[in-house]
Amino acid sequence: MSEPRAQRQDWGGIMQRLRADPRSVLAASVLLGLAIVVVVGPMLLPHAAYEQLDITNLVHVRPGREHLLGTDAYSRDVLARVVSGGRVSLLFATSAVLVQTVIGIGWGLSAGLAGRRTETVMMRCVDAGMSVPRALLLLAMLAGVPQVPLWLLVLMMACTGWFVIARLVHGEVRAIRSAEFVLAARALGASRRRIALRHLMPHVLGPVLVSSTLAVGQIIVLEAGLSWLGIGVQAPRASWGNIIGDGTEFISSAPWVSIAPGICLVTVVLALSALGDGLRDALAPGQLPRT
Amino acid sequence: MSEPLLSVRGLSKEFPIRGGILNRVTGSVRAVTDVSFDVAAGETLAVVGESGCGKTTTGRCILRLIEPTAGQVTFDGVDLLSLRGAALRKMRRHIQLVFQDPYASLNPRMTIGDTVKEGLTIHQLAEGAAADRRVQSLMEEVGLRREWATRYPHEFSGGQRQRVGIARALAVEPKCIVLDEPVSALDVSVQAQVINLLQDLQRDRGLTYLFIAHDLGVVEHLATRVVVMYLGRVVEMATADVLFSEPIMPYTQALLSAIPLPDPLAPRDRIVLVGDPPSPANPPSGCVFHPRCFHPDKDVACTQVIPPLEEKAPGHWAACIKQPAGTSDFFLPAAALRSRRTAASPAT
Amino acid sequence: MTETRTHPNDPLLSLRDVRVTFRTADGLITPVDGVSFDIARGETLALVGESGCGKSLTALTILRLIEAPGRIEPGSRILFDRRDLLTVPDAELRSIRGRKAAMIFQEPMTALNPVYSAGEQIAEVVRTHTKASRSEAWTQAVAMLGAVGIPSPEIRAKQYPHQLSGGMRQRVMIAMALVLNPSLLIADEPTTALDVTIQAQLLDLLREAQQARGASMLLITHDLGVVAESAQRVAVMYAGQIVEEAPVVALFAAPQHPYTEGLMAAMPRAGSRRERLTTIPGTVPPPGAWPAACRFADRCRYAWSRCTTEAPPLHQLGDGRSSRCHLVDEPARRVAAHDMVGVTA
Repeated sequence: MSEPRAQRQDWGGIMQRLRADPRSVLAASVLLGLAIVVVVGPMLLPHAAYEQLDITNLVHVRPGREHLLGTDAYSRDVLARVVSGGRVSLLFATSAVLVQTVIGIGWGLSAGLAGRRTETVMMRCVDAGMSVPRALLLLAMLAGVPQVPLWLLVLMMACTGWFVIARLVHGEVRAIRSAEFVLAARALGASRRRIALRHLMPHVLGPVLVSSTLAVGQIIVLEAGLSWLGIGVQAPRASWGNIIGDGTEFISSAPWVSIAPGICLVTVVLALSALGDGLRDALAPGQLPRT
Repeated sequence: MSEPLLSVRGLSKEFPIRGGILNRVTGSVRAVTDVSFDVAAGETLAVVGESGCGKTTTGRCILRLIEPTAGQVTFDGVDLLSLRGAALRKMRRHIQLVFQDPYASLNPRMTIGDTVKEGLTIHQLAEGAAADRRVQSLMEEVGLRREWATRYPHEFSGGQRQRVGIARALAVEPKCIVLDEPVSALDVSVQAQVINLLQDLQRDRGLTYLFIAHDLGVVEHLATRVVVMYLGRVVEMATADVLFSEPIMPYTQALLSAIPLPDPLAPRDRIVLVGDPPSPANPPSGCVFHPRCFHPDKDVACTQVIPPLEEKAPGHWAACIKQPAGTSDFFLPAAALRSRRTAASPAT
Repeated sequence: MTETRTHPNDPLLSLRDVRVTFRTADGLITPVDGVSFDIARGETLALVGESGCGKSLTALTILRLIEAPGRIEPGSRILFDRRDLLTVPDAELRSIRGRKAAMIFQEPMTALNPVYSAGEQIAEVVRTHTKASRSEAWTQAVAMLGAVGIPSPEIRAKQYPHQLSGGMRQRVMIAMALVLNPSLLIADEPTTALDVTIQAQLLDLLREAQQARGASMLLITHDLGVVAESAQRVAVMYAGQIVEEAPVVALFAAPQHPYTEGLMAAMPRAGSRRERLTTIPGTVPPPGAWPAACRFADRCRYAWSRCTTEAPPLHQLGDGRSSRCHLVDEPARRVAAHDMVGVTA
């Protein structure tokens, strides 16, 4: 009878493996750097994002010393707008992911611990939600009411996105709920609540973290798309999507307006994907205890 | 005669087999059927049998980790099957479980100190520093160093993890511990250490053990009384001395003769059972053992009547409608069995 | 270091100084460290030890089934019918595997291919090594299934592994191993995962099959009862090395190495009821953490200063016995000690 090779399963071990992976470290640094720029930037930059500097002379100025990324059609400093837009896009995506993760975990955990019939009903709802393409759902929701306040947009995004997390959590709970250490907790007299929070949650959080990291990237892109169409984040508030949208007409004459936020978008999504992959590898147990 | 600590009557468990598109119930697996036995305080009752006999399911039904389909379980005067919710959880304190697999039964993301402490927290037996001290003394009692409380399960060997499982069960000061194959997954030398530990704990704490095992060598060493199960039913029950020297049931005889003895010179009269054990989803009619039984008086009645568990001799119960044929050619005479077993002690 | 050994007969299998290394995150480990033994024709040698001693790896090494990061070190020799399996060309090795030397694994569920039926898997062995046609191979497969005691073999041959019980699956594996009449069977814990009544049936089957064909068997197990039942000679392994070798009756009557003594004393048996078992204190060290000098010294009841400074060689004791222990030189130190009480891990 041979022992499975042991790997650290606790959070310390996970962090250790993450730190040892150059791809994850790079991705995390990029994201951290971006976050700092986006938070601190508006205070340091000379120009404001909304400020129309000189509508006659400073329209579509090429990138130069005065305006590092040039100006747009309304003579607004593109760099300032990109930084401000970054703030909006990142904040938007993070809050939406937070809300959808909370809903998803709650739903998935309850379904996983409920009786067979309740579980079936709950998961069929999830299936129904997942069967409609998310973008289409959002477009339909926004079609009637173009001027949606940002917090409502966050909620809409979350409400269309929690299904995947719920299914993931439910799957994990189902896999673990018959694990022996859960049975051991029940034998000790642990209540269902205690088992959920103390034993299931830590195991569930891992895959959820991976999924949520990738979800941030997905939502950034979704929001950018909606804003580009004009139904997401509304002017004059900047988001990477609507900056790209503004610059689309002028793509040949003033390409810098769209390219700058475009590069930022791609970079962030790539970094998030890389970090998500790194997390998945760090969590991969290698040899989980035989159940 | 004092009341037994644990009393099981008519315990049954059926698992539905689902099939078809709508997942309808198409049949059932009768994992445990009509199992009854008593466990007196302070004794070690072993439940033995091969895979599929239902012994693990019986243990879990008694603890209500699986809900039995029928039957009665009385523990310390309390009807365990009628308890619900918080009352049931409180009762769990008094009858604990040690698992077979030392790798799977510990939460890999919890330190072993936290694992042992959990019972104390759930039943509010100790908190904070007092709880930590209890954990440390428990760890030492099972042979682990107290500094190891901050380490994680993956840092320990199988034998050490099993000790953690035992400490976890002891933390809530149970009266009875159900041990589900606690040493099967361990190497021989580690097994011996854990067996010694279990004996010491029983003596020091006055524990009662329900010991589920398939390794008859270990059972013979530890048990006061033995229950033999086959295909979900109890087929024989006696004190360990009697069962190992004078078994009545053909199945028990075959089981005992199948154990490989660590003595190359011991006579090898072995009863080799024909065929594979039948499936619990489709048990034979009448006596569940009849297709493989070699009793010289086996006849049609054996296929029709389910033999009741009867007391054939004082304290010795068996489920067979025929007389034990002690002098037949088919059975190993009791004396031969006994001499085989005592001859198998290797010199040290 | 090679230990010379004289074997009266020309052995079928001869291992000399076999060493296997693994490159791990913590460095280079040597789980099989200088193993040598012979198996005569028609003989069963049991290789006994607990988990981590290297016995399973030794078995895999014989058929050169070790892959990176494992490596069979040069200097190892495995002579099968006088051919060195470690240097033969691949084509010859492939013709030996399955045909002249066959392996039976512990877990039939993982060793059998779940998408092929039992009959197909046996037939494949036949077709790989002989020029038999599909139908001829199938006939042979069905016949073999019958020979290993499976009732209604024509029906069972068409079934898939998951439809068979554990005992049946192992019979299928045995059938696969025996179908081409190999001269060497390597059985790695073939009955450990099975119930004791099935184990009895299968050990009998293996013994009969082996005797009928005059085959040799290397039986790897941790169960001393199985050893006593099935083997003629025994080699005990600890921490990558053979620590004792003897004919089976002699080993059980008077074990020489303290580890063998300890193993036997630790087994619960009739007559030991309700007493404390004699245990071997401590635990088996993992391959990276083997003590210098004698690897068993820190757990040995007889150990003295020489044991921690000088590694004992495998002393030849005559009559086919050997022991890797300094007690051979200084037998007076084998004091009849009182039972050592079990100590914390």
